Amino acid sequence: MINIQNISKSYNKGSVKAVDNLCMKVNKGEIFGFLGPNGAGKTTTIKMIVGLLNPDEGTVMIDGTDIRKDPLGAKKKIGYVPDSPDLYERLTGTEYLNFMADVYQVSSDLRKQRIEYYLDMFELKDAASDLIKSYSHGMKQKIALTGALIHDPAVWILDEPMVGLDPKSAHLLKTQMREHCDKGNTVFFSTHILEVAEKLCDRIGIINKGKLVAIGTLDELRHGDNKDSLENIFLELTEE
Amino acid sequence: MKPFNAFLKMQLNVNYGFSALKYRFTREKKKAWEPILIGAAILIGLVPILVLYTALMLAIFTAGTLTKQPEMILTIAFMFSQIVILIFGLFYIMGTFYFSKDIETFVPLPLKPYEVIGGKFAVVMVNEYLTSMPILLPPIIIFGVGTSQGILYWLKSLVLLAAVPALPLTVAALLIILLMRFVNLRRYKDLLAVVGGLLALFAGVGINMFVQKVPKSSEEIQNYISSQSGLVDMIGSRFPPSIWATRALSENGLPGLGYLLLFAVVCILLFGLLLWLSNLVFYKALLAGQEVSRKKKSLTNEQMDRQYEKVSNPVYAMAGREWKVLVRTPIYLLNGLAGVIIGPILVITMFMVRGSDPEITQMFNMIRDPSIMPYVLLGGLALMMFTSGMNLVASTSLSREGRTIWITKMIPVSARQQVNSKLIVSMLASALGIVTTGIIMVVFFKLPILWVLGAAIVGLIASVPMVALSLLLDVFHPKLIWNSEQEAMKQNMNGGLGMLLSILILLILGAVAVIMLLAGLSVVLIMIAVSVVSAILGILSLLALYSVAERKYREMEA
Repeated sequence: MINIQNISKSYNKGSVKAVDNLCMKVNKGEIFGFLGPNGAGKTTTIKMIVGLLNPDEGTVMIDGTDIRKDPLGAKKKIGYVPDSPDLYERLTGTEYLNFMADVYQVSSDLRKQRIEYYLDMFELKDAASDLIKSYSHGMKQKIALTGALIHDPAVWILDEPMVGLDPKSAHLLKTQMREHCDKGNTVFFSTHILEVAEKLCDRIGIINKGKLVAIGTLDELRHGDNKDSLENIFLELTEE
Repeated sequence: MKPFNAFLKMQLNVNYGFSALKYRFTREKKKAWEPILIGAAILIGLVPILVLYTALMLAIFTAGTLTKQPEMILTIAFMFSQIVILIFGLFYIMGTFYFSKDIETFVPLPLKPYEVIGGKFAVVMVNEYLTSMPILLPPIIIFGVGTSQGILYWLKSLVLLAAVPALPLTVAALLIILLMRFVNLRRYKDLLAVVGGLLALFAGVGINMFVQKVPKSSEEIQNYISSQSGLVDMIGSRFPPSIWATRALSENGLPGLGYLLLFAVVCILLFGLLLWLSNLVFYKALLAGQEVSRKKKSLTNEQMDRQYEKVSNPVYAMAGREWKVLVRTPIYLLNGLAGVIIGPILVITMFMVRGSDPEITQMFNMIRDPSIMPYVLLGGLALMMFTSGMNLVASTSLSREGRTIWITKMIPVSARQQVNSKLIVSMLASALGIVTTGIIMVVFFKLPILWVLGAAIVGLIASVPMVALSLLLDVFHPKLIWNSEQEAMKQNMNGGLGMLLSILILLILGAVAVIMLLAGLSVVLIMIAVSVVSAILGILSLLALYSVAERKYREMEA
């Protein structure tokens, strides 16, 4: 469902390679965990997948649509939440969600149904009529998630989605991710919490210094050594 | 480094962007022209004002010498600078002490409240030098040279120049700290920003009106001043520190030094009081203001349903969002919309102030003369275009999105639709200016409604190229990285350039009108011609805007 072919991105006139010739595929029905140390290129990769950054070379296909050639078509299939979402501080939660529903052209009935569902789940109903300015980090994260999922996209791309969420919301989100993939959709998310990746992901990719150093199921990464924890694998692969 | 010194250094660095400037000049050399250009623009803008001010001061000095009170120039300058600093200091201090984003990060640091206040105070103080220096330097130099003062005078001047902002600022800070202890002004932060902005605007107009009323020749000034004997003492009795500063400079020997000492001691005592008081109450007031107001109102399902009932198309949804942000953000409102409305109203007030002049009455009568009215109407049209062009809504439209630009990039809305939504909002802002000017033309100048309506329609058509070009400018080179809304709007070069472009359009249309007037064509024909030219310019600018947007929205990274 997500097909990344040879994407690279460098900064400062090519002196800093943030992402270096990265290739990977994320299949239908799969939760894909994207791991890597700070500054490894996770967010840069994610931003290239969703079209926020333009890769220097390479292609990204979202469910068969090239994000550069048909950006609008690809974006309709994506629900994206950045690591710390900057939202319109002077809109209320309700206004923001209505805005997102309008730009994704979600019908009145569907938006009511979905907004109610997510606001209920995230316990945000009471705060929806307040200005986003007054929200805590976690509440902003939840409103951003609701806004990103309002058009029921096939591909969820979430950058550090658990950061700032309370344990209950994090648990509910994980359940949602599983259910979404069980319907034949895809979730791609980055995280630093290895336990989450270990338990939740069907496949895992590890990036270090802009290069993909490992990709596969947990078993594949273990190379048959069942006792090896993801933490050990991660530390080994990302060591200097 | 001691904690306070480290804090002070960091504060000055952050506020004046030393590291950022260094980065610009050493690492991002390509963009080094930006700060240079901004600096040059400020200088160019400031020089004429300084020249005028120096001329006025020279006249006052000459008048003062003739009436044997040459030191009056100093008293006036000291008083003027201190009043200005006091008034603006109140808002500035409130902003830096209580409303700035970083203040909360200092609370947990091992710094005493008075150290935080001290560091913040230093930032404001340095900034106030930029205000006080241009006000004080010319008179000090004029007096010093004019009365052939010795080296001691110049040394004392240096001390005073350094110390003068401290006094009114300390007073302002004391007032604010006490006020904030008892009233939680944070809740009214947005309102205060509007009040502060309006105050600055009216101060600007006030100075403008004052300058208009100032007697034009130095002879008149002399007459005025000689009729006010003992002016220095009169001012001094109301505002003693100006007198101390004056005497410190104008008197030689021990008395002069004595007054300097008096000024300094009062400054130090007040500053000491400020630090002592801030240690007692600063954090209390700061932390009391942290609570965010929320409605916390549970909505019933029906209420919820109603809220999510209305479906708009993406263009209107985006325009609605932009409009809401525009009117809910005081800085945007003041610079974007209020200027459009207040501008024409101020013109009227100025007329009203001088309304009793026979010249003005005569002018009013002349306007309504049927043979002249059409030309007045053309003038009105020009004023409409001017007020609609002099706003920053279009030229900062994309810049204002700032860090939320990722949403703009993510949503499946084409570049053309995105700029269309921005065109709607910008045209609405321009229309507001046209409508207010139109109302003034009908109500105050008693011009016929139908004619004014016609002019308003022509004005609206003429706004299209102005708005489209201003928007094009911002789409081409948006300023997306900013930390305060102020930066997005006021410290954005696109704003000034957009106004220049609007003036250019105005000049083109004006030229068309003037040429036709000289050719003896009727006003109706001229209006039609102006509309046609505007429409052509409008279509061309729209086409350019769409093609630039198509490319820029794709290239833009978030």
